[in-house]
Formats: sequence, structure tokens, C-alpha cells
Amino acid sequence: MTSSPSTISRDVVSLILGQAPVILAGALIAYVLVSGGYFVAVAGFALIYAIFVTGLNVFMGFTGQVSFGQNAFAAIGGYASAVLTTTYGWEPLLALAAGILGALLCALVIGYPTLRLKGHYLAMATLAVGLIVYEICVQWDSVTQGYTGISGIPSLGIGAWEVNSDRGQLIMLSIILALCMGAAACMRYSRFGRALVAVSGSEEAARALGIDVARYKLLAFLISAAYAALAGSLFVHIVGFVSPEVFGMNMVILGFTMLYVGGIGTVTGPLVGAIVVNLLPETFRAFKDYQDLAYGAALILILIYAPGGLAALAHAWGGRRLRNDATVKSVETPQ
Amino acid sequence: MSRLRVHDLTRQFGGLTAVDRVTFEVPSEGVTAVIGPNGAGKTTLFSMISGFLEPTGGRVFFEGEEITGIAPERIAVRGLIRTFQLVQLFQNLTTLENVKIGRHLRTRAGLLAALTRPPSARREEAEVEARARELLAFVGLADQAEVTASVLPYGRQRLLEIARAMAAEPKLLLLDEPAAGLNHDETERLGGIIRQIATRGTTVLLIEHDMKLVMNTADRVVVLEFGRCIAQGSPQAVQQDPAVIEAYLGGVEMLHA
Repeated sequence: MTSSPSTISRDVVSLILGQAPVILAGALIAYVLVSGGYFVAVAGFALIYAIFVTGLNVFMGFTGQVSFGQNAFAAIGGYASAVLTTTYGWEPLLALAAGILGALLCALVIGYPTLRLKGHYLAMATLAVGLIVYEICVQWDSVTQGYTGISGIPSLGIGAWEVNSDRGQLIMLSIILALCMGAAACMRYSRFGRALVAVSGSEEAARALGIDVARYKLLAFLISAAYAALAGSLFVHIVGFVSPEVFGMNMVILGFTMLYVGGIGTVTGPLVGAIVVNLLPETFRAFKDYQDLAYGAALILILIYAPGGLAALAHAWGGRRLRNDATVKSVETPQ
Repeated sequence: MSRLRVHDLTRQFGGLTAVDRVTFEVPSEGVTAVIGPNGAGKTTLFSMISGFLEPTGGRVFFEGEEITGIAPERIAVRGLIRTFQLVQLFQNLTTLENVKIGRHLRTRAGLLAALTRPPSARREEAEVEARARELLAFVGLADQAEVTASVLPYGRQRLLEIARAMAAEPKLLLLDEPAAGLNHDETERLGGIIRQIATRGTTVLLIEHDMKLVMNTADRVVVLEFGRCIAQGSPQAVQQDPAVIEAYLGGVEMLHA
């Protein structure tokens, strides 16, 4: 049954469909690289957000937890880069590493006690952390320069070699994102990733099988914090400027939207979500005053007709095939 | 030495004593069954043994070492694996992935190995895959490895949960009403699987309502009523015990079913 020609061709089709998001994204970035102009910046932001959401997905999609405070870690990464390079003259790469380290430390201190809480308590705790870090960015004038923000942040580079051109930066971001997504895929399909999805599936069953649920939640939280800090740091190095608004609550809302539109729990979903959510408003520019309305309607339509997210559409198609097989078999074989 | 020893185990919920100073031993070989009418405290007893519920009194010893009040995952590490009365599968994952997760305790690879994929990790992953497929074949689900767990018929979900528990290579397997919701044929197959598990050297302790399954598979039976242990011994001896017949009252036919 499994080796019939029609099944094989369907397997090939679903394989191609499964990789379609990555292929499309690659084509889109190549097109933007060639055409240049305004869309290079839009694509750059999409890639940075894709990194942020890939991290969020490890914690929310794989492990099934909720965090409203990921913007805190992006802020730590971003401000570490901004302050250390402008005020203290650090190498951008070193500052970036320091930002990630700082975010990890912060996530450890927050995560250790709160990840023992379940459901809403954890969400509330993370929400508080996001608000606190935002306030610190605003109030700690002597270091962060408050609302004014910090400008003149150097581009990323090694020694004298800097990535300055728009296109160069887009290529660099593409490479970093590919590594980040590759890492997420490697995590998902390993013993480590299986423990994470087990926690998301049933904490009781996971514990009964000897999985240290608290430990894996903490590890997933740390990973998502590191991704967020990396994204925050990349953002300030590319834009050259940082202010508290960059890492405000809207970052969390955008991240959530991308995660659900793209497909929570899938490896390619964050990329799809980041691209769609960033480009969708641009496509509706012709609607003028009704741009936001059209954008909102499009998001709602996506969530209604692709509740598992856009990246999950191909999987859903494959799943229906398997479901049919299962029902057929259970009818066919009364042992 | 016995595999499991439960001594004076007690659990109160407010004024209600769900399990009242229950004492019994589970030897290393064979299948032991805990039976009793609804509300006799069987599941509460299981939850305390597996660490999901703290006892209000008494002690539990596994392989001679006390495990009273230890966290479930720590108990699992020692080789005591349980299943649940209401099947607790990882619903969105395939049957194969479900069983692979069961290998967690028998494998080592961590985050670093996931990212760098050294040969040792790849070998381990191949072993996990092979072992998981073997276990799926053992419970008769080999042809449904890629099916999402949630779409399996209920009886097969139960078998999958057993395969997943066996992936951890437990010394003692706790089965909480494995035949609940199964039809006659499925129950018969389940009995065969449980006997095979015991023959392969895993001690089995099960809670069961289905008397036929208990009489066919169990080597020893412990009978609970209102939280108390009222009889224990071989299935035949327990069946003729006046206290047990009294407890089941109208259920006499059920005992002889």
C-alpha cells in the first residue's frame, strides 16, 4: 500500500510543499538583493524578526510555554551593543556576545523561579519582566539616554572589515538566519527537541517517562532569550540607532502575530510569518486610508483558513492523507 | 527481594481516607493486579507509588530503597514507569515519535549533541529509531509509525502508551486500567502483550476492572475496598475469599466471568 506509485508521487509533492516556504523566502531575498532600494530595509527587518520569532518558537511552539517578555531580552542585547560600542568603544562582535550573555544571565535569574509556575503565572511574570526592562531603558538616563536613544552605533564587522552596504547586510542577515533556523531544526529533531515537545504535549506523561520538565522549560527559555538578544543586537547594528520604543510591547505583539500566522511549532513558520507580516502592510499600500483595515482583515483570514499557520498548510495536507490511511486500516484489519 | 513494597500507605482528602494503611509486596517476577470496586482507591494508590501524589502516611520501597514522596521523574529514573487511566499521549506527534520520547532515560544526547551531531549521537539516534520501531511492532502498530497519535482508535492509543513506557526499559511497569475502553478482541491481545512483557523480565503491576483479563494474566491479586486491602493471593484463592465475594456482592458473576 505504501509503495504504490500514487503514494510515492504524493510523498514527493508533500516534500516539495514542505520546503516551499524556504524556497520562496530564498527567491524573495534574491529578488530584493537584485532590485535593491527600499525593500532591502523591509527584508532586513523581516529577517531580524525571523531570528527573534525562531527563538520564541523554541519556547512557545516546541515547549508549549508562553512568554510576553521576550522584548526584554532583545532590549538587553540591543542596549548592550549600543552602550558598549558607543560609550566604551568595544568591538561590535564582542558587544553582541556580551549582550547575549547578559540576556542569558537575566533569563536564568527570571526563569529559575518562574518556570516552576504553570500557565498564567509564568505569562504574568514574563510580562512584568518586559515592562521592567522597558522602564529601565527609559529611566536609566546616564547610560541609555532615555527617550532620546543612542545613535552612531557602528555596523557589525571583524576588525577593520565592516559590513556597511545594504546588500552586504542583507546577505549577512540571511546567513545568520539560516544558521539560527538550522540550529532550531537540529534541536527539534533530536533527543533534546523530543523532550521539549513532550513537555508541550503532556507534562504528566513527560515526567512519568523521566523527563525533568522544569529543566527543559528553563533550557528552552534560555535559548529563546539568546535568540532575542541576538536579534536585538543585530537590529541596532544595522539601523545604527536605538531607543526604548524599538523594544516595546509592540515587539511582543508583532512576534506573536508572526508566530501564529507563520505556523507555531513548525521550523519554517517563523520565517514565513516574519516575511508575511512585514510585507503584508506594503502590499496594501494602494488601499491608502484603509491600509490597516485590509492588513487586519488579511491576518484574520489567514488565521481562519490556516489555523495551524501558513507553514503548516503543507503538513496539514499530508496529515489528511495519513488520517485516511489510518481509518481505512482500522476498518480493514479486525485482527 | 521484592521489586516493590508498600507499607501502611495512607492518603486522606479532607475527611475522606481514600487509601487506608495499605500494605503489600510485588515480587520481581510476573504480573500482580490490584482490583476493587470503583472508588476503592486504586488510582490514588498508583499515584502515590509513582510520585504524582504525596501520601499522608506510610512508605513506599522500590528495590529495597525508599521512594516515598520523591518526584515522578526521579522515580522513573530508577526504573518505575507508569501509564495513565486516561491515555496521556503526545497527541500531535506521530506514534513513532511518541515511542522515541520513551527512550529518553536510556539515551544521553543533550543540546550540544543536537547541534553538532557527533558520531556517537548519530549512533544513538539510529538505535532509538530501531528500538522504537521494534516496540511498535511488538504491540502491533508497526504499519502506523507515521500516523499522528490523536487519530489512532482508542484501543491502539492504549497499546501505544504501553509501547512508549516499554521504551524506557522499566524494571516495574505500572498499568492503570489498560483494558478500559477496549473491546473483547483487543482485551485478549492486551493480555497476551502483558504476559510477554512479564516473560521478558519486566515486573508488571496493573489496576484492572476487567476480571477476565485479571484472571488470565495475573499471578497475584491484591483486593482493595474503601481504601483498605481486604485480600491478597493467587487469583483462584482471591476468587473464593468470602470477604472479596462480599465486597463485590452483585458482582459475583463478574468475578466468575
